[in-house]
Amino acid sequence: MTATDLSPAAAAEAQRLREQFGFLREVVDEMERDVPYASALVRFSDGHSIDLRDGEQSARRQDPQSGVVLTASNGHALEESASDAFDVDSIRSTSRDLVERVRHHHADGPEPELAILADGPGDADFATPVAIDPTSVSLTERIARYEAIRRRLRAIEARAVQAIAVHRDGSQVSIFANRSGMTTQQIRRVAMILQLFVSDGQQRQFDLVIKAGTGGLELLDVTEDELAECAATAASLLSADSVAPGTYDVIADPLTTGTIAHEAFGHGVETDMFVKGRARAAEYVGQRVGSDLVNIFDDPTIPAGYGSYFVDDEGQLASGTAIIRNGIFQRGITDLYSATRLGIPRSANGRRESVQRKAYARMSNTFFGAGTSTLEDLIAGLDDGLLVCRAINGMEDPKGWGIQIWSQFAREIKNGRLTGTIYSPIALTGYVPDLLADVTGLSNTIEWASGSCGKGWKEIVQVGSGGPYLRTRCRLG
Amino acid sequence: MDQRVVDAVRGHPGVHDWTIRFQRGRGAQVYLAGTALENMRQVGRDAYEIELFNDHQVDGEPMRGSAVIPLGREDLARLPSILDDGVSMASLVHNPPWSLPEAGDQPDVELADPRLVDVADSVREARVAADQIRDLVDAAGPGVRLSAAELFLTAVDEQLMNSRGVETASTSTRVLLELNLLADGEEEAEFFRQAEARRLDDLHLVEMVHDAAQHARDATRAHQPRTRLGPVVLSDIAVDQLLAASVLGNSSPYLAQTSAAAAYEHLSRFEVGEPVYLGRERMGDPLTMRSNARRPFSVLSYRFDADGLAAHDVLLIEDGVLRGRTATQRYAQYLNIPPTGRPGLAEITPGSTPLADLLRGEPSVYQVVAFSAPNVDDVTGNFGMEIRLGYEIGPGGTRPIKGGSVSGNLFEAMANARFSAETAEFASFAGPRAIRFESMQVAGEDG
Repeated sequence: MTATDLSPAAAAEAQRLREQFGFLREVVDEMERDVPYASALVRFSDGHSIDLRDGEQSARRQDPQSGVVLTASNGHALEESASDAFDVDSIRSTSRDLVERVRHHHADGPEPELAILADGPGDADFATPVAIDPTSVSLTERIARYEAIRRRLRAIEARAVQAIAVHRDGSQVSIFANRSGMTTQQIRRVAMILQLFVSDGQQRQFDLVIKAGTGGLELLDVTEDELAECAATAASLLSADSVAPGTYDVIADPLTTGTIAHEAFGHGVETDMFVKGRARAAEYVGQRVGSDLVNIFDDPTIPAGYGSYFVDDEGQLASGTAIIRNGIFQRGITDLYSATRLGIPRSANGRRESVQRKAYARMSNTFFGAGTSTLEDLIAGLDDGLLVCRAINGMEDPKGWGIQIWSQFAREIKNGRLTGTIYSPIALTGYVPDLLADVTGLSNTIEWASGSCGKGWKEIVQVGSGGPYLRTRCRLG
Repeated sequence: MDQRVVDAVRGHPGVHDWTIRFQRGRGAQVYLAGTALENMRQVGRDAYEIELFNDHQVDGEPMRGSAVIPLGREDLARLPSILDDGVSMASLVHNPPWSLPEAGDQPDVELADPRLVDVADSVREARVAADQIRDLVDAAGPGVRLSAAELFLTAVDEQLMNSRGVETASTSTRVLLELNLLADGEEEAEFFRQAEARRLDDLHLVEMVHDAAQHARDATRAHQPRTRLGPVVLSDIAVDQLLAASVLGNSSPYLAQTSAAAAYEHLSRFEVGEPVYLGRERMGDPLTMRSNARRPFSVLSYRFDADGLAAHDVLLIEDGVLRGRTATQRYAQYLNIPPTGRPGLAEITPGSTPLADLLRGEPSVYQVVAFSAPNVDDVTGNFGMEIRLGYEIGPGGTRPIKGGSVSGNLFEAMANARFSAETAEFASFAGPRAIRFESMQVAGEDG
């Protein structure tokens, strides 16, 4: 997207940002008189969060998380200063202090050379296309709309004890400058989470519907069928059995498939983990890691993807990365430091939780490529197995190549049909190369999910994940 | 605190009550990739959070709406319009009325490491600690090396004022360390450790690096556990993870279930005066738990909470029976119970059994020292966590295990649990160093 693709409102905002922050180029130029590489990132956010539930409601403005981070290389490592003061005088003062710090840097350990290439998209402006701008719909109307949906969901199931609707809309504006130019970026994200809790007097269970993406309110439409399915699933979990631990033929639903991609060859190929010796995938570039059917991508340019953006937080223009193609591991996803240290081309995956935190190699939208089967084909092909649904979260183990995914429930398949028996909760574990080698079928459409992703136990960023229905074999407990 | 903010909030006709929280944070962050310095950062941020209350009527019933308005520094220039938006939001939110806390005594709770209050000191301490980590790993013996370390040293000055006369302040510090070690062996393996404390010395770097090095070595020869239902002892990081909040939003399960908010929202599975084992008969040690927000230097302690309520030490569960709930100001009034402020650190009464005895069993006992991450649903109590490192301990000896998972329901499993006599303080609770669950599902190798 270029400036000419922006809506009039987005173009006007881009122009305003250029006028306000045009001095960042001069700041970077001044810093680079004394240091081999410098950059500046200003970021601020705005938006609302509305939480509606039985007995109470709440509303809050999104934390603006505003500030600037200035980066300077001392030729061996990066040094940064982050502040919430981003007026011209404060930034110039912060930049002078940072340069002084770098100039007086003393090696306090082994420091190999760090030769950063200052490539970037040059001068460009970007903005998320939005059909229904959240600010064009009054807060009154939005609260009424989502409260009505919440009440409809609650009314479906007599055993409901609580129904929650959470609505979020927000914009995140960032301005990045280095010697290649200055970019502005306006990202709009919306989300709605509907959650229904049910009880039989003893147990509490829940199911949920999540709608989210980069764009406007057009992404948040919920159908009556989706509400009915949520209520029916929550109720059915009250009588769910525990699954007998063991190895099963499974079909992962798109949410679970996306989580497999995210955990197995998302976190495991973040190249800062290569630098730290934490990723076994580093030894497998160009080698087979899955069946011919396996294709995994990371792509920040997916339209409406929850993890989509145009430029990463280190100035790299967004583009897709083929991580695995036809079962062969191609490459990892990078941040600036790890790509420079490893001497490999950058991908646009340098992301920060906020300017208060450093950039790491992080996923954007990570997904399995589609296959050629239908879901019905995949089910019909199983004599005895489980359809694993609604991944809730997962955990990476890039060093040991273990995978763990926690899903809400699984539906039993016998003789090529769903039996109606349901198991919950489901812990899916396995050895990644085995799980990918056992992929024997993929459905022909991709569905997307949205979520938050941590690096280890912190550094939360918004991501998308997705894929088709996927048939493989793994251990459940 | 900027007086312009106070004056603007106080003078707005649509604001009927208010709380202003102001935090001035600063700190140092150091990142090691291998033994090389990757990044050295100095950070600072001023942040306001204003909670506005608007009283109105809906169908003749009195209602109180509220809106939380975080402010950045640049927002001060357009404060009137932001407050107008906030009042508009609050007027659309309809909750049963409740009143803010009034001025009262507040305890002195020790929350700050004097070495970290000044940012220049933090930068220096971060560099010293990074050197110490390098040296400790270097001295940990052959075959072990540093993969990565991240150390955050943060100080926060906080002020709180409300429209009912509360005016208070505190200074706290926080230390966060992530440490990852690699070990050579049958198969190269890593051990990851994250720790949080108020004071730098409470990280106990010498012991942490020593233990992490041993765990990394053990991980190189670890095998999958066998699938079985049987005794599992959780100790070290693992027992903390079972009782901790999850990384992506779930609260600490017991502290969530014993809160007044959960009771008001019909999400609590516990009733005051009733056992907390979800209908299971207690077979093991009784669970006694307090929420102590005054515990010195606990990362969950505080002087005052977001409403300005003073920190309390509250008995929650006694001998397996729910005795009380933590209650923030709002939910205390909704449920007509005493306000205690938000939960603090969970304190669990230890048992009388030595850890060595908890680890005995036929044919063997699984001891888990670390899961990959906390993952307990705070409403259902269901959990499933992957074993990052553990041991199978039996008459034939001890062998390391990793991979596979432990799953079940925390609240039910606690009915048949025994607590060690040895104690420790973790990030999420203080109490027994280990808990033995007699019947827990382990999924690993089949057969």
